[in-house]
Amino acid sequence: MAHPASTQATVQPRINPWITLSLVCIAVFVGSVDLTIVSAVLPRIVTDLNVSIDSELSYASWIISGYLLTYTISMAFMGRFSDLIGRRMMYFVCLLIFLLGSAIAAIAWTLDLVILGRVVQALGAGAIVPISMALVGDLFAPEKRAPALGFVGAIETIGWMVGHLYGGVLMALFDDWRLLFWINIPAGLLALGLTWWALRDVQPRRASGTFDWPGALLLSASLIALNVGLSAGSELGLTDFYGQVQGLPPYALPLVLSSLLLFVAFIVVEQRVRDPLIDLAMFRQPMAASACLINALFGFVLALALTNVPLFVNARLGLLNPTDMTILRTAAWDSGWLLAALTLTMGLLAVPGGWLTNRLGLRPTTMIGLVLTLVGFVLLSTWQSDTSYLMMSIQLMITGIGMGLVISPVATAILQSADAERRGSASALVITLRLVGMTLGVSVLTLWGVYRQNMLRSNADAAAQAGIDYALASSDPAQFLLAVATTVIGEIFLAGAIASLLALVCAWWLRPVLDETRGEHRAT
Amino acid sequence: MHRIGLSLLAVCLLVAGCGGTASGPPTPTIAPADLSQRIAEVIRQSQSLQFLLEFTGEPAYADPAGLFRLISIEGGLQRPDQAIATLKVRSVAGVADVRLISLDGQLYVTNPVTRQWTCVEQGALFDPVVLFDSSQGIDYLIRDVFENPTLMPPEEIDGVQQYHLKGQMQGSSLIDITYGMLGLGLVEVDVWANAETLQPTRLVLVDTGTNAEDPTTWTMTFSDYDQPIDIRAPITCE
Repeated sequence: MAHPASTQATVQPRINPWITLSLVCIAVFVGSVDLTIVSAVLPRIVTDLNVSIDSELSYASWIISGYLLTYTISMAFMGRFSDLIGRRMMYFVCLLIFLLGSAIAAIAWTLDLVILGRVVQALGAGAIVPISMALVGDLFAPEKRAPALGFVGAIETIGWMVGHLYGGVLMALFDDWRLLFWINIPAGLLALGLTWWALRDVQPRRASGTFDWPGALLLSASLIALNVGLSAGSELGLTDFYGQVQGLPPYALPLVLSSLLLFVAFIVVEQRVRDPLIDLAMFRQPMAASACLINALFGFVLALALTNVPLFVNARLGLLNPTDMTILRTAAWDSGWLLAALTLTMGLLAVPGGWLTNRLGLRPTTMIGLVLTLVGFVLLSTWQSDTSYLMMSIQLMITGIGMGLVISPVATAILQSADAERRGSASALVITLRLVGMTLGVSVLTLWGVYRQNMLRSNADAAAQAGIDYALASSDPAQFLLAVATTVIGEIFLAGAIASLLALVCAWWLRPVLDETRGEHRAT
Repeated sequence: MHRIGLSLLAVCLLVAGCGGTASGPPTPTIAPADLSQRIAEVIRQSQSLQFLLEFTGEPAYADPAGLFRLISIEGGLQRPDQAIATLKVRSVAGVADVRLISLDGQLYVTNPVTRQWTCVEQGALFDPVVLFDSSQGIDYLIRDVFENPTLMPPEEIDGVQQYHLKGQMQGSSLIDITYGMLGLGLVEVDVWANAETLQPTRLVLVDTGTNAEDPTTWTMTFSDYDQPIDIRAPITCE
């Protein structure tokens, strides 16, 4: 995590530090937009690259999860690198890496190259957030850092909230997914120039303490092993050429077990090192632990929604309009604005969420939000092939209202559980945990979705149990496939409802804690 | 010492240069037409091979309504009449796999919706076995239909020296074997064959009668000659 300098700001700025931070945040925004930009256009990319939905779909999901995973890992490492080689140089290097990744993705002619481009992109983009958080320590005095850190976090959040809409609009206008990556080149170069100029006077100071290399490596290895293992699990239902079910790939279970072992090792290391990557002492407070869990579950359900909505829209439009060659373009646009009903509502409700937290407290606000989220996901799980866009939008907005109300109290709980010196790390932790949840969300969705649709398409009994008329497979294949898609997507939305329920249970522990040193409630 | 090193380097380069020339493609002493006959004969003698057939340019459709566009067919052929292949088919809803087995005159295909194997009558679908058919397959085309073959300069593909023959085929000769997907006009043909074994490695057919700017193109890649292939009936047909 980034460690903003804990003492005096050391910059001698010729310009207002807020202007400097704002210019730097253009890069943060560009990077975070790409977290969600492909969700609306993924079906188009997959089709253009001739990726088979029968045998290569789980691999294609790495276009999203590869970015999320690398972004998360990059966040864990790069803040510290910037202490060593300087913020300005680090921004320069990371933006160049991001631009290189964008160019690779833009010219990619195979799925492998798109995934490679996305991973390279994320390596640069993920680094920009912690460097910006570390920069806050260079630019601002300790008492002014909290709002500055909040600003960086807000820009990052706005980026991924509008990413899919931006992607949908560009697809509707230009009908070319490669443009989504090409457009990063001028945007990134602009951010590069502005950042280079804005940081010309900023002298970085080394954060106190050392960087927890073993912790960062163990956490990264654990995340990679878990995601690759879960992704391999999606091959559970795949068959050999003759139709015999092959079962799990031999490396899947060992990878998942390894990830658990690596995570245990990470916990052990964190308890022993002087400057741990994550301050585990924070998790001894029930409030902080539950807030972290809620935040990860928040990321999990968010990822389900961000990927499920475009899947539903594309499946419905594609199957019901088999002769319309422009339908994928329409689907990208429809997915983009439908998702905006979720994410923009979420963004708008984050501010009232803060007000409600001040008036009602952490627990009531979070619980109200999570109840609405739970209701929203249950409603989303009822989508059918004839559900109207109006109804879908309303249900997504209900979900967005709930999720929006949760953002502020959960972040507040985590930040206020941390010591003043570690609030920078805690800010980064808020983002990191959400990203970990999102990454797991995409992996679990892929695992269940691919397995389940294989099962329902090839097994008449399983289809009958799910209420699907198997006879449709021969009499009306499009309706049959749509019924399968609707069933699987509904089940995944239900998983989102279950995750919301878990988060709701966790919210019980978001109780104010009496700060004995100050004789007041630390978080109310 | 320095001069000795340079001298040794020069000698090495010279030897390497000579060696390069010596291991280059043998200059054929036969006419292109004879070479094509020999290549055709090598195919006829082959017991099995792996192939990848890619469709580019003006789309080739797998159905009369034009909803399913063929992307590629990849698989293996084994004499006398066996084939195993995966067809990649693209529709608006995405790209799907269709598996196919041809064995003892019976064709088996997976349903693209349910992925269950079904029995299909011969002639109902494009059967890759036809590529090995001596009366209309690849060896027949290269032997009897290939017109005006010209030998191009030797080339290297994947590190292996190749002969490259260029010529044409009359479209009408290709209609049957390609299920009518090729043959609207004169078809430009390029054949590459391993310079030592004369086993064809690549065959490119460009139908000039389809679309002048983006003509229908079949690119066939061959490999793994005479390796056994496991081909068996997936279900029992009544």
